Amino acid sequence: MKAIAWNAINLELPDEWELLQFSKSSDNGKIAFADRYQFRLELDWSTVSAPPDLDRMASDYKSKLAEDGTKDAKLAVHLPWKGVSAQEADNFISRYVNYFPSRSLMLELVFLWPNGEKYSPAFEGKVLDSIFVAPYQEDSQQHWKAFGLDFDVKDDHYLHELIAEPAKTQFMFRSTDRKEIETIARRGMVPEWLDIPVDQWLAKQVPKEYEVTSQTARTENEHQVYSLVARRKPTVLVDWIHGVRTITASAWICPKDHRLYMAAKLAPDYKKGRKHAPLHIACCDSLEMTL
Amino acid sequence: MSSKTENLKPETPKSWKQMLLAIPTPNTAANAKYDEESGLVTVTVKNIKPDYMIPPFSWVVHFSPKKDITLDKLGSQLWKWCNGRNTVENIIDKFKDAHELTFHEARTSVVEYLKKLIQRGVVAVIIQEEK
Repeated sequence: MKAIAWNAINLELPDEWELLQFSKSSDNGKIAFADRYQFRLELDWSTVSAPPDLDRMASDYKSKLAEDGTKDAKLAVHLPWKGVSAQEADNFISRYVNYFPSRSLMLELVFLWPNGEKYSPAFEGKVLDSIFVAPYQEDSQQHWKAFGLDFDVKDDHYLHELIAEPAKTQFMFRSTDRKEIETIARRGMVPEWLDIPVDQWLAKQVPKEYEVTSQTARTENEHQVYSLVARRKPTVLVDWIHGVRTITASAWICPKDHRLYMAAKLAPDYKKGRKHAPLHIACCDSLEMTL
Repeated sequence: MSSKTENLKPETPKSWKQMLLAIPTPNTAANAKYDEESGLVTVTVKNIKPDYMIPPFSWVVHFSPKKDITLDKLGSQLWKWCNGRNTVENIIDKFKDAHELTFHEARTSVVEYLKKLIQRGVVAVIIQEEK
């Protein structure tokens, strides 16, 4: 089983299940996982103002299935999760619902069992037991683990953009005041497209209006890590008010999975008071970077 | 509770098992040449003469009875595996292992590339029924 962390929701799923669909919103959204042949699990979240009546939701849904002609729908309970399971079209489907007050989130979990695969309530229970929702803590970190990336960003930063293409994943988070941006990327098939050294590639990612002021390289547990700092030049009025916008970035190729990792932070060079939120990223057991 | 699985993107089928069972095979009407130096494959495909290619139109527009398609490095690798014996699933597994990708990363890349090869008449596909 492998751990997944998305939008403060943590769960464990079989290693071969992959995340194929996602929502960026932290209030309402879903993620869906598939094995190599079909979708197997969907997790929906929605922010609710009050704890829902889970028993009533389950029994209402059972009644709806009966009205729609679905036979043998049964209430499925794995406390504190409440749900309904029934044969629907090509799949046996179990739906469970639960409420997590720490973030006022209602979670719905849908398991799809293809014909020919034995339905396992024990497996569903194992997945349901693995789910927990991290409470919101100001000045704390939110943990994400998906698409081969494992990182922590500041809890009040939101997922602004996510590119998930074959061999190319890039998360971009922003602070609500839009002053800080964190970018975390993982690229595969490196020999097919990387035709310059990693440090040069990293420097090329810096926007034109920024000037690289320092570049360093170091080796850590067989990882050759290249880092740089770049500052906006020429500065603009907003830089004089909030501090000069500065990029801190690192890139390396992990010797274990041979993928290129990049972590970058764009933030004003705060003169006093406010501190940068740290950005932690791990590519494997041997390297954890902090920017 | 709701049936949220119905909200999955309509273009994404719930199951793609049948597609994985298909067997890509070289188009028998196409000739392939492997260049050992570059490692690239060039496939010569016959063009079908369109109905409108008659005089006087054909006097001014040249019709070429065949076209050469040179596949890039990844395409040439895929072409070798499209030998009429490997299923799409086998090819995805080979591509996945060769490039250290996950199954679905490889599936997306391979299927997109195969679609292009099919559209260009380089490869044909034998569909097998799901057991």
